[in-house]
Amino acid sequence: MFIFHVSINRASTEFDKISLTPDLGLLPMTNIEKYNKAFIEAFAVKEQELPKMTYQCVATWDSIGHMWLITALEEAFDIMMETDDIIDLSSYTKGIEILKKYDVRI
Amino acid sequence: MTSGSELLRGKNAVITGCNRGIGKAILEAFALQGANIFACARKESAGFLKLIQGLSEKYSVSITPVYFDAASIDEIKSAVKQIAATKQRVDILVNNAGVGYSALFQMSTLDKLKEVFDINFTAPFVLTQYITKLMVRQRSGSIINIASIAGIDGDCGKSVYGSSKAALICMTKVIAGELGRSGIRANVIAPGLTDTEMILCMPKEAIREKTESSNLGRIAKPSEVADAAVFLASDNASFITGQVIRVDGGS
Repeated sequence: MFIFHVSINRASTEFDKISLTPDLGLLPMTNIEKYNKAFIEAFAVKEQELPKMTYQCVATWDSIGHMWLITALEEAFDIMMETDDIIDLSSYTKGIEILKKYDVRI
Repeated sequence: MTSGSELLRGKNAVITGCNRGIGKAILEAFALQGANIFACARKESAGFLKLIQGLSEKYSVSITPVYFDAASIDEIKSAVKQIAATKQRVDILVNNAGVGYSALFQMSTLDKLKEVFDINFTAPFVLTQYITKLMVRQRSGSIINIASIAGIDGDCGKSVYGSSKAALICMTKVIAGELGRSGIRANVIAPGLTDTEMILCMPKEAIREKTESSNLGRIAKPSEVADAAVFLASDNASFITGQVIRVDGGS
């Protein structure tokens, strides 16, 4: 059975295009899919809300939720973030910029 | 614990300062209880390797040596990367490694203050920052920090050592509050005088006075401190967090 899900396939600042990708359970996730999944699972939000998200914009993005996001990102991209970067990650778009330091291109 | 009730079977633990004293006793007690262990020590030695190999075979547990100098943040970070690379859970962290120091307040140098705080506070602070990120992913974990009654009682000659342990106690209480909702518990064991090399830095008169003031009239065996650590690490302590447990024979 084919399960279709909506995934954003472009850089975070350009959300005008989306694609329907067949999920066969075999395809590895793209970086943007991993990045979005971390936000969605940490904050229980919908994908279309992500681009405008900033720290404490929703109740779930509090200090605890922030650490849940960080650990999800570290696991998704197999990285260890520096404390300064953890503090600086104040928005969805800022996170994409910070991850470049860890050779993660979204 | 005198018998293998296997309170920790299937759990993975990180223990620092495993090669002697209280840390060695905790290593032995955790192995007896079935825990798999990342046994941290400053450097490799034949005696340490023989110890962990013997425990591993005797109790059918995995014990992986991890070496780092607690005074080096870079080495701590590398050690955590080594642990994380195994992709195993970390259910328990025991911050045990520490250094002792006794001197009157006016005789305590800033160099010594920094040295003691680097080992007794900064190292567990940094290690716990990294390890709790692994625990947050799991939404579970137990942190046990080995402090000292010197961090509570304010005994003469303990301005440096006692302050470093008081800082560790405070850190633990904060962690318990901040990480509780992530399923992580954090507790302190505050041993009294314990029969380890560390008491060699204390004046004999102070040791005698402490021993006499103990309700039980003796100093602790390292295994008695380790037993408290087993309890706090186990699911038997599942609703205990943010606490300081004195293991001092009563005073």
